[in-house]
Amino acid sequence: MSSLLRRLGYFFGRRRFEADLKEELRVHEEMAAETAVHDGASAEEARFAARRRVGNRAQLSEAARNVWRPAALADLLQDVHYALRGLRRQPGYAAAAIITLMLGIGATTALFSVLDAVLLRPLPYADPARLVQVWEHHLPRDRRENSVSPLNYLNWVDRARSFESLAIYRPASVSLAGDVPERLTGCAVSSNFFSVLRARPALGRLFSPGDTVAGAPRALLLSHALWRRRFGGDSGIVGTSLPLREGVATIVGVMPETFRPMADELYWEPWPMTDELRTRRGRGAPVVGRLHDRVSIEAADREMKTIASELEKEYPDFNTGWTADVVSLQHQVTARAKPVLLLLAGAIACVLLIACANVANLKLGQVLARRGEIAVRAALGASRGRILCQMAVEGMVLAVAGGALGVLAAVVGVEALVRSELRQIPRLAEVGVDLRILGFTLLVIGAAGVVFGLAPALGLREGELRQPLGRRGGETGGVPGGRRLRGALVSFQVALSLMLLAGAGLTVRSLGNLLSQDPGFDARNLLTMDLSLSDEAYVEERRIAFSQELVSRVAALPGVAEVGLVNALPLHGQPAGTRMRVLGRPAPPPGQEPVGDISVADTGYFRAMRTPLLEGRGFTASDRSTAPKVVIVNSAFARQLLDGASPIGQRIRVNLWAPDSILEIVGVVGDMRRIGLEVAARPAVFYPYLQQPARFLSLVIRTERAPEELALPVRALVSSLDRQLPILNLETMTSYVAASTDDRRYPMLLLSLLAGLAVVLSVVGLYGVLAYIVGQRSREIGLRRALGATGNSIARLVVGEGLQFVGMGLAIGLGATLLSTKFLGRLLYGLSPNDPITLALVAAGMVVMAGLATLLPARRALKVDPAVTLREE
Amino acid sequence: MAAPRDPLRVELLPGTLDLLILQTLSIQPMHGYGIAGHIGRLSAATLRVEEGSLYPALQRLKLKGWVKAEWKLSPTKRRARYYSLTAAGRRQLAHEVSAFDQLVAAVRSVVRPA
Repeated sequence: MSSLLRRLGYFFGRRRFEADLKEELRVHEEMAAETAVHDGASAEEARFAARRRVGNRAQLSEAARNVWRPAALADLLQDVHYALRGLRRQPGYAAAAIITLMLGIGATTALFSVLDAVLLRPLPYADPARLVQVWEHHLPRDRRENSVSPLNYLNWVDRARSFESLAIYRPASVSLAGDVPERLTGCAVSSNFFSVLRARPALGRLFSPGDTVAGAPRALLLSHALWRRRFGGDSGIVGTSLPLREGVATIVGVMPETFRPMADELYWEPWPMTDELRTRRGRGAPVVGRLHDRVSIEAADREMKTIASELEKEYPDFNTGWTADVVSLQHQVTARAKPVLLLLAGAIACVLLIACANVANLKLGQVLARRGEIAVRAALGASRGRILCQMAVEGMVLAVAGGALGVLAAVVGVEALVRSELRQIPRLAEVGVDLRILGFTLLVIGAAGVVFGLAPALGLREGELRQPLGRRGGETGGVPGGRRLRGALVSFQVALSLMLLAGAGLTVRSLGNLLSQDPGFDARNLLTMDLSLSDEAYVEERRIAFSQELVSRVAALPGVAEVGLVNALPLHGQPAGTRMRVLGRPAPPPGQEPVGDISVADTGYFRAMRTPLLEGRGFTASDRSTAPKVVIVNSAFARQLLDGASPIGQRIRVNLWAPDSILEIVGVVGDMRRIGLEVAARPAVFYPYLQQPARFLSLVIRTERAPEELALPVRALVSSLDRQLPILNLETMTSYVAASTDDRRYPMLLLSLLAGLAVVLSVVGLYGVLAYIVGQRSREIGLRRALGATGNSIARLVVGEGLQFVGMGLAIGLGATLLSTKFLGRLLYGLSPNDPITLALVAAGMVVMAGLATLLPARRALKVDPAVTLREE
Repeated sequence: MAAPRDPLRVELLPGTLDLLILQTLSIQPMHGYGIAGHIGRLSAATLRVEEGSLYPALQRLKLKGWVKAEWKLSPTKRRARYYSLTAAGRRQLAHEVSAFDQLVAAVRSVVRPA
């Protein structure tokens, strides 16, 4: 114990120690010299003799110092010193190993930080395990996770005992008035929304009951992001009034930065539960709740299903076929992203393994090349354990260097990812490299260092340590064990690469399949823009007048072919849907009524979209509010509701918008894919704009040249009509089509990137092994040439050796691929997970890449000069 | 020119250097050069203490807490580092002397059986 204290004393007083020792030795030399002079030597001789007696001072100091350091630590420092010196001597090898590790560890760290934030960490609310989402669920169509009818919600609140409270919310938007008009998307929330999530404002207050009283000023809570961006983070903003196009609002508070339950909402407004909600119509608002203590999700789910069946009996018109589901909020938030993230984690782990195999291969080659040096050290008395320890330290030094760079790369990469604000990754703003993740990375680094430090060294058996001293190592055919081990490593790499390549190939072809899907409209040369005529000033007549003015002015712009209006663009949000039925046909049993999309279109919409009119007529200017109510349906409607009979002249009733009117079908248009390219169209009903003048509209402009060129003229035109009208989402239709495939595109790109990385790493690995083998066997090759072997047969020898490893890898890889592609799941479209064409293509690609890797070593083998070999013998 | 080999010089038994140093210091505090000289003189130059072993040995003894070191003026007015025994060092010396006696007796009884 006290010796430990003395050691610590040494550790902190090292400088003193060194100075004392140096002075002590100097005094010693002086005394020795004096004695010698006393004995009759010359001063010069005496000093020289004294110095010789003391000998190598550095060595002596080292020995004295080592007394104080624990022996293992001293050895370790020495090994680190050796390792660094060794790496400096071989900068190429060091750089290759360190860069490989940097890529592997960097990618692993970055992805782990995403996985950690998205899947593992609890949601950023108090006691998040008790938060649940409650959905309606239509059993006949198995439509899960359906938003909730507000009146059903009110019944749930009255009856359910499992919850502390249940809150309801719906998307909302307001337009900021002023010089820079802007539409803000946000949430209208029930008064208990924030208490369910246990959220507190960063500034100001939450909503109070007074905010929902009729006639009270409109209250808004700002998101942290909006507060910073639009109001410069001014804390004096609380309590001030904010001019909106919809009227004046009061800013009552600002929420903290971490509070963004929908990820991108900019503000919250109260949603008063008015009588208007007390009709059972439409299901459009999600419900979130907090469970009571000791109530399990399963128990809550059972209770909600009981309540739903009561409501089904009480309101059979509206609720037949509907039940309710309770889902944990954590699961809700991450469920969609989870399989893809896990898949990518697997892919990255494969790349890390390939990288480690490469470094192990490099190290193995280096160990075999250094057998001479190792044998000398063994002969000089280094134990096998000591030599292995040194190998492990060398591996560790590489791992630490590569790991440090990798962590740096990960930090930079993660920051870029967070800034990208990809909507496909939930909770992205919470992602960051923190201490926990660094701990994980340290584990990876440690494991990697030990593995490729020791794995190659274990190939050196006790006998082999000393054996090369006699006959100089490396010249006589190489070590079979080393070759086998390296071959196995290469096969392993090829197998993993093939697996990743197959995954990438399948997702690339799926995306191709998806994009070649006909959406039912022509997305090229279409410019679109959203308008929100939600202003108090825009009463119905003004709305119609304004939009018609806008359409005719845009149509007059040079380069514009057609202009149309619609209330919901395809592939841009979800259209409203409701039950509909054809009059005069047998009514389906309750709960089995067909459900379709309803939207509003003007006279030019279908022409602008190039969606064909299949039957009847389009809308005309005479389909006005005073005229008989008419609609256009799509062909899915004709197929599903009329069994293929002609819809023209049929009369229908639709449950929303004009529930009491009888609507006559005047036309049939082709199907449009509206939710996603992979989702077949469901029945759709279009109302003429003049009979159903919606407040939210999208302008569709068919252009004769690149649509982007018209963006500026259109913007200027809108401003000239109404300077304060916010211009929203001025986008091309092709960008919506692309965005609708984003949740396949990003995984596809990442998988392709990883597969490319894997192939490059394994090709480099294969090349390294073959080059090594050719070097080892140059004597044999020279002899063969001397004995008359042709260049062809030599090349075959080398290439054959390489392809043997590759063949093994392909066989294993194909097996692994067949087992693993099913994890691609939702990323696949229009082909089977074991699509033979894709598998054949990637296998062929792998063989070609491997073939290229064998060419250089084969050329080297051909250049072996038999004369040189013979002379050396 | 190679130094002539001294036929009388004897290798120290492992572990005996510590004993010799402790014994030397039990007479009086001494600096490193003095310790080496003292052991050389008493053994009539049979035992030569190498500086390369002496100083690490002194550090070892210091680490174990058997000796302590301080800078003092020598009789020749030179500042030198004097080592002296601690109480623990004295106990250790007594222990090592008896252990050495036993060892020598045992070796002798094997080499020259009575």
